[in-house]
Amino acid sequence: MSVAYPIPHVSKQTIKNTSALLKFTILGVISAAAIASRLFAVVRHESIIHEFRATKVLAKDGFYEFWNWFDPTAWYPLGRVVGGTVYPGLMVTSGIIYNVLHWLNFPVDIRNVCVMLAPAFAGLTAIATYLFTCEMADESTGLLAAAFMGIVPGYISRSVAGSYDNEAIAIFLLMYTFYLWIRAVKEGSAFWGMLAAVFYGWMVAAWGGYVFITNMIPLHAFVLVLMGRFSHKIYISYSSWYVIGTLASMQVPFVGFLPVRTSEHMAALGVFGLLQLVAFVETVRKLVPGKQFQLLLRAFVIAAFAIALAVLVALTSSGFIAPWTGRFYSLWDTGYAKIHIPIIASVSEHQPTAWPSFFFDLEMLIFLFPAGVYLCFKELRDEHVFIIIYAVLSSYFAGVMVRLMLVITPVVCVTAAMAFSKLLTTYMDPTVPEIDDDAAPVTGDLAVEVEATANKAKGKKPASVDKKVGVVASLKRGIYSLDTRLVVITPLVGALIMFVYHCTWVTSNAYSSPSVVLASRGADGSQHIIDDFREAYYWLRQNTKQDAVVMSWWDYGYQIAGMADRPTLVDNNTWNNTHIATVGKAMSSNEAVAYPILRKHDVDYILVIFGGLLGYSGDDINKFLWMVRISQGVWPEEIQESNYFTNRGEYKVDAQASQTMKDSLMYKMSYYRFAELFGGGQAMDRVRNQVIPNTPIQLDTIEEAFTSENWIVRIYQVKKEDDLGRDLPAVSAFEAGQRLKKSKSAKTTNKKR
Amino acid sequence: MMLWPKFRALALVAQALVASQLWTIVDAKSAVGDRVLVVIEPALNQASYSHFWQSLEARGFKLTFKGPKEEQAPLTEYDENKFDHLIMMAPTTTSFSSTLKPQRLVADMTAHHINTLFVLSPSISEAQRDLAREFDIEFQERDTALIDDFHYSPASSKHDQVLLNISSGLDSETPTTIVPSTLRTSSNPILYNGIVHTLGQNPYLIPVLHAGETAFSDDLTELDEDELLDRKKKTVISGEQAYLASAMQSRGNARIGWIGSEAMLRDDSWAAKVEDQDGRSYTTVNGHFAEAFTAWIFQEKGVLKVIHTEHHRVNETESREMYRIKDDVTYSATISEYTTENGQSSWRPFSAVDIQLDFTMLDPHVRTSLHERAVTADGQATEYDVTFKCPDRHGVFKFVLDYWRPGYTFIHEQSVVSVVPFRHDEYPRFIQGAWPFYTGAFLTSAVFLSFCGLWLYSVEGGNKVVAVKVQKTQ
Repeated sequence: MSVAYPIPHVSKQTIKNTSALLKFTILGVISAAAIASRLFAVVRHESIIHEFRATKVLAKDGFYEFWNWFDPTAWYPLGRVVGGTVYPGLMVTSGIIYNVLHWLNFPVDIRNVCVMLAPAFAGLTAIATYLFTCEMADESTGLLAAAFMGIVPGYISRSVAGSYDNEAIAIFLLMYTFYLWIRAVKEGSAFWGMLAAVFYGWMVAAWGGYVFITNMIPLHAFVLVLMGRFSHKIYISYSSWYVIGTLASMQVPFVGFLPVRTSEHMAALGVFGLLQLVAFVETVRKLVPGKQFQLLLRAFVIAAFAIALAVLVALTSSGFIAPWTGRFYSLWDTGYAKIHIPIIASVSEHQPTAWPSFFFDLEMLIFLFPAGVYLCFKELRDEHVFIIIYAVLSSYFAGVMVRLMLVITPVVCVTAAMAFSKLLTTYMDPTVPEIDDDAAPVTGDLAVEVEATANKAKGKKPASVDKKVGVVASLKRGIYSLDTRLVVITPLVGALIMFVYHCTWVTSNAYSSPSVVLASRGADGSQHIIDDFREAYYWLRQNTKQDAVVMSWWDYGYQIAGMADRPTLVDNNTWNNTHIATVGKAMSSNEAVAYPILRKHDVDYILVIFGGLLGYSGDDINKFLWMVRISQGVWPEEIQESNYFTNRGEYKVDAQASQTMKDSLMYKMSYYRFAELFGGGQAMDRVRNQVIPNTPIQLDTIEEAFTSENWIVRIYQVKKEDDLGRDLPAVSAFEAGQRLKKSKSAKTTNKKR
Repeated sequence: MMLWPKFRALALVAQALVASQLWTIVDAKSAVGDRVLVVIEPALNQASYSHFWQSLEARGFKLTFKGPKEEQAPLTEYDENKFDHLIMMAPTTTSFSSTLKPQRLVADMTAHHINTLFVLSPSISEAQRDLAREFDIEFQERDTALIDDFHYSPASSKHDQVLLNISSGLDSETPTTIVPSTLRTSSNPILYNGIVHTLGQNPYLIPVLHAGETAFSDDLTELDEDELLDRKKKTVISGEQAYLASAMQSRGNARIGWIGSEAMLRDDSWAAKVEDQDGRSYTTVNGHFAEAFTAWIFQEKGVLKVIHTEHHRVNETESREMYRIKDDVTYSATISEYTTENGQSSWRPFSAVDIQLDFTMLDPHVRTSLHERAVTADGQATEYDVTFKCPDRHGVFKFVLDYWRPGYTFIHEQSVVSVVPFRHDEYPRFIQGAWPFYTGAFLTSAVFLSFCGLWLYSVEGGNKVVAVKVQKTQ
């Protein structure tokens, strides 16, 4: 056997041992890298974490107290039954880790467990990806996939240290469940199916995105059946997964009976039924002779299908099975949410993905992704079908919602690794194709020649290569020289290195600043930390009563609850649309309308985010139209979006802004005394690049309580009703020294003097 | 000639001393404090109100006099009350010292709960009318006065010395804490020589005394042609619309009173002998009225306080921060009333049947009346309680005790509790209605087990196993 470059002679045993050691080491290093690259935020700032009060309760009072925990400070005054409205997987996982560590006498703070949970699980995700890929291709591909998964920004975006979110553990569970499912299909074993179900149960407890698995696995089974690949392996693995998995998912209080009552879960149930039918038919086929069987089969399948469909339709129309939810529709019709459920559309990560962000989050992997899928088509074993389905579905979802980039990331890593690994193994393989001497010299098209020789060369003994000039030797397809190899391998290695650079850069610059701390760079490269959020939250914590209710848009609910420790009206757990719409109405109405709402909800302080001074674009004025839309959904007569635009249909905050806009509480709170800051000059809003009119804004029902250093956070205090029963505009007029010419309601005589 | 006024003043003082022994009260005291600032404008002679001052001093008040433009003796200093009450006798003053500016005055009334009595007159200044408008009270134009051509003292030819029988000047809403029953039934009139005002819709206003049905407000000066023409267009304020005295209690329980006549408090009207147009003779009850009115304003009467509120589950005694839905909860409140009767002031039990409790989250979910249970051991307060079932709705609820009755201190007591849903282990363990499901589950398990048993140990299968084993061993 000829080689392109010399290979040291090593015994097979040594190779086996070394590769095992190497695999282990490499995996370890990958995990370490995965964890390390997520620590930027903690190293640079400090471990900031907002919402882990539920976990604190769990760690302090135990699981049952957490389950029954009623949080009176959230969603004031409705309160929130946390145990029943939360996916408890994240809290329980960190609670278990906390307790295990304490049992081992590591006195770790629960806060640190929470901060480090996401990186730790990212390390595990890398390992799960390795296992998953090993089922698709060889182990080196697995290592490559694990490496990709470890540092790819698309996943890092949701799992940096301190981002204590459901997705932090969900992606690991997703990959591991898929791995176990593939394992189960391959082995046809109830054991692996059950393991898959257990991890599926954990996933259900951890993330609402479990519906993806709930539909992925049945779809895989269904496609396999359609492809005529039904086997007892599929039957066993699917049945054991479905039964145990569904039971497991129903144990989560928040999920409850959803698996049998909502349309999202019906596919899994349907495929379960279908598999029973197919298995039954297969059994019958063995016992009944061919001809009758055909007839029987047809009648049976049609009848079964018709009955099943009729039952499903009947149940759905009678209301026993809930129809598809709005969130689901918004996946198919991207404009649906904006019209019907603005609360979903208002979240920036629910917007359709922009093309650049695919490259930003996945770099070269996105180009290798189709190649990997193609390779799957070439092999097309059962597990490759899975990858193909996964790839198709997730590419669609990732295009619909930015947030679902997270779902496509694992499959992109796996397929890209397959493609990349294929290239590398092809070009690094030292074996040089051999040339057959016996083959007759042929003239003509080289390709034909090669094809022909290759066919003839099968089974022939190796011979030395004759390299006479002008003589076309019979050639085998393959790579011969070292330079060809280098020409391909060098750029590939370069691409890998670039990938690492890109990932590190993106992680460090885009995903590693805690959302409450903004960092900016001056012209000289010096870094400025803008810490207005924490400044304001600590002000609230230090200067307000313990039970002072703070109203803000829901984005800041968890932060206020976690960092300022004050009751909030709405928070990031957006379970009550009406309550959010109420806040939206208060923000978008004029003071006279807003004040009774504020008083009814016992609001003491209102917090608004204003970026106009600094150019921070994620402020409340930019979100304002969503507040209007959401409240319009509930009070269409009182709030109309069109009133907030200028006559020409523009969204403006300058002098041309509509009167409704200028009267709205949000506008007033944002720009109150803003013009004064410019001392008579043009008051320029740097986010919207518009000039704010100089006319002073009059606030009667609220008063400014706090404005942070860069004006990002402004806090207003709601005035109490006037002690003397006047309305508040009259009070401020009186305090400004205006004379009341006429009593408000007392009878007067109008005598000329 | 020079001695005469002095002599007269002395005589009046002597008369007042005698009078005060008859009417005034020993030991009586305000519930909030006894420091009174009297702002009296230089145009008014302080000495001619000596009965009024003595009446106050006899009730334990310490009076400090100052002019409306004097800077010293502010009502509040460094956020602390220097005085508890204020008598503003500056009807004609147009500008005040910085500590008495209307804005400052209102701020002191609202933030520091300074009880205030405004005493005005027909020569009222615009500044005072403006200030009164803030309270939704409209005083008539300057140089107008209450005129009654049927009940008057002939001392003045303009018929502006009106004799008003209190019973005909009372509004149905006038609380007895302000005008006590002794005064209501008195056959002696009030001698009133002053301006009137009208009341607006402000819910905190309390009507006290309005004019008799034959009285009306009219100019005191002669009118020229134009003014007469103009007058035909204007509404005549008369009878029940024309108020002589009114009061307000602010949300913070500061009490404020208005009297449209400084003359009414003068010594010569205090308890004077007057004759009416028909020559019948009366002793005026101006003194009585002024005492009763100031006793209410300066918190000697009608003061309520909630000594204690408490809530707990039935069969428990400790208060909880959280109740469960459908819990039976008992709420109790102890209320005491401060009042002055026959010169004795004391805290005593307060008895009422119209005290209500709300259990509120956004809207009241439970509204029930509190029942009088017992008088406390010290005999100074009444205990009220009620037991009700928590609504089937979780959330942050408030026990709200609102008792707003004119003439009494407004009571607003609230305490916040959470109402939580059932715990996971508080639901019934065994449900009768679920029998079909229990049976189904156990039947399926049993059938499955027996099927497995049959499958494993059926005769055919058993033979095969044995056969294989036999083969292997051979």
